[in-house]
Amino acid sequence: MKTKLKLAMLVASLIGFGSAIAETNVSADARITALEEQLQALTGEVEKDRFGDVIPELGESIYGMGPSASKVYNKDQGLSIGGYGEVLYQNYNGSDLDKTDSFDMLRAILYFGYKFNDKWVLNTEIEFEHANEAFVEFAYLDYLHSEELNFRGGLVLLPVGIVNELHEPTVFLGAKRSMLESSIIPTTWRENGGGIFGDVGAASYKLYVVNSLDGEGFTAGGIRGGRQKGSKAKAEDFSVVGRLDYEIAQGVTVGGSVYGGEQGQDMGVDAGFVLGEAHLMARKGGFTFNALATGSQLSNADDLSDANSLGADDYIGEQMFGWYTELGYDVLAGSDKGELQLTPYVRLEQVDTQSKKAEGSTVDADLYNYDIITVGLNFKPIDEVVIKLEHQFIKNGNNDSLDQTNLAMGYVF
Amino acid sequence: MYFKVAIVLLLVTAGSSLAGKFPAADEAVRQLLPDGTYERETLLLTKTEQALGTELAAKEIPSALVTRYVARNEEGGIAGYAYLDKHLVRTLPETLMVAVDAEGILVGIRILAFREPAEYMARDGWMEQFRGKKAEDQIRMKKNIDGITGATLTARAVAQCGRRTLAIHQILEGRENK
Repeated sequence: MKTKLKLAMLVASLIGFGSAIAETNVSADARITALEEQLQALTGEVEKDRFGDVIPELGESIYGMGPSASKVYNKDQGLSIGGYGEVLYQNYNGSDLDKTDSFDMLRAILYFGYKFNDKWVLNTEIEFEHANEAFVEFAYLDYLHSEELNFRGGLVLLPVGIVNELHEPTVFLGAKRSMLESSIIPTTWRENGGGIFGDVGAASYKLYVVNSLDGEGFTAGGIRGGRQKGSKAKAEDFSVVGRLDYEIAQGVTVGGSVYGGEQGQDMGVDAGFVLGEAHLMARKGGFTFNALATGSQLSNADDLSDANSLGADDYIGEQMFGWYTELGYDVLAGSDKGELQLTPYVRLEQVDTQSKKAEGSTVDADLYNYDIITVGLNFKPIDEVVIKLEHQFIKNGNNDSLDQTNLAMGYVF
Repeated sequence: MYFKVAIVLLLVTAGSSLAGKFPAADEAVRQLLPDGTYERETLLLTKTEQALGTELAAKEIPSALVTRYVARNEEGGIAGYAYLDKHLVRTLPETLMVAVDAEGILVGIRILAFREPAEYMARDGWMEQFRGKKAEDQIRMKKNIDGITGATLTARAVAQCGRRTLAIHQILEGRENK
């Protein structure tokens, strides 16, 4: 009897214990379910924040927020800030000429962009040259209509050559920009105007109308002094500039551009000017290859020279001609060295701003044509920082040696 | 004269339809993995998986959260996955969709959002070279991907995104085969 009672009590207590276990299981399940729901809600919140702008149906259902309210999460700020700069040390110890070595904070630039909405975008660059001259390098509004057709207006970069639009120091190889893209193509060339641009298949184009250069600034050495840089620019004459680029293969782009118009402005001289340029840019594996050829024709160069009070021995050239090719190879391209890049490069170049002299000109053309060989090293510890060291063998037509050594440091962010 | 032409063009085209520049995520999945049906899912990587991914991608996997679309063919089998990835280009982000097929081979990349100036955007033609890449290929600029003139940082960002996605995919596949 006693044993039976004990057994019954044991059974009863076991039953009670069992049901207690079952109860615990139920509440654990409920808690797991609740946790799952909370986790889902939490990941949903993060997801909404990250991808709300690309997943349209997000924010509608389970998290109890309507689509319009969730838009707040999707709005990225419209302000874009960036910049770049370069410091250049030039040493003329190998030169025949008695030039002073220089160390210059060549440019420090702040980029500001503002996206008002998906169609209207502002792009500006505020530039400090040589540490104490301020410029607005460009400031234009884009109306982005479609891939094929967009509109641009303001102070624009002329789409001429390779470096004019791609002038960030981490993009081009050399410590100094080529002489061609300084003397013949007056990089960084910017004027007020506007036009259209877009991509059609593998081709991209730009077509602008801008205020012409001011012929009053032209010299025997070229047109560089004619740039008005958007500052109270004389607008008696306008020029048209068009560019076409075509990607012929993966990483290989060929293209060209033409600039043309009257450049006399208010001088009363009929100074028709055309500059054409063709280029090839290739990026294949560790290789960088660029080639550029350019020529220009100025009509009535003698009249313009006279109007500028230049003596016959300082006449502006009627034609200019130049070309360069450059090749670099990143020797660390195949290795697993992270972002480290070490690119030896060589550039061959000829520049002649008096390839055809104006009528009546007694300019010593030998002093205006140059053969230049540049060899250098381009080192990038990370993609945004570059250090470049190069030596330039420069000879003019008179066989004067104008060699120089350059050291540059650049950054972009 | 030219201004007049430009103004007329502006007026004519402003009146025409203004199609969005980028596809929405669901539209992009259909373009990249055209067959069958798809659903979106959200997964979380463990700390260990994140560390493994960092090793495979040679770059930190910044988030444990993985958002992807699973595409199924008519028989219900897996046709592929399309991953969403948002990352910084220069100072502002872009959102890409990277699609892989059932064998883990990259079949395409689409830009869904791009906040940097449009000039820096990668062209579709350029992104073609990612097609056919697998996790083992260890995508890297200059090694097996050619650059974009003037848009180094965009190229790098896309390449890293491609490699990261393939690494994450490999980890998730390993998880399912356990």
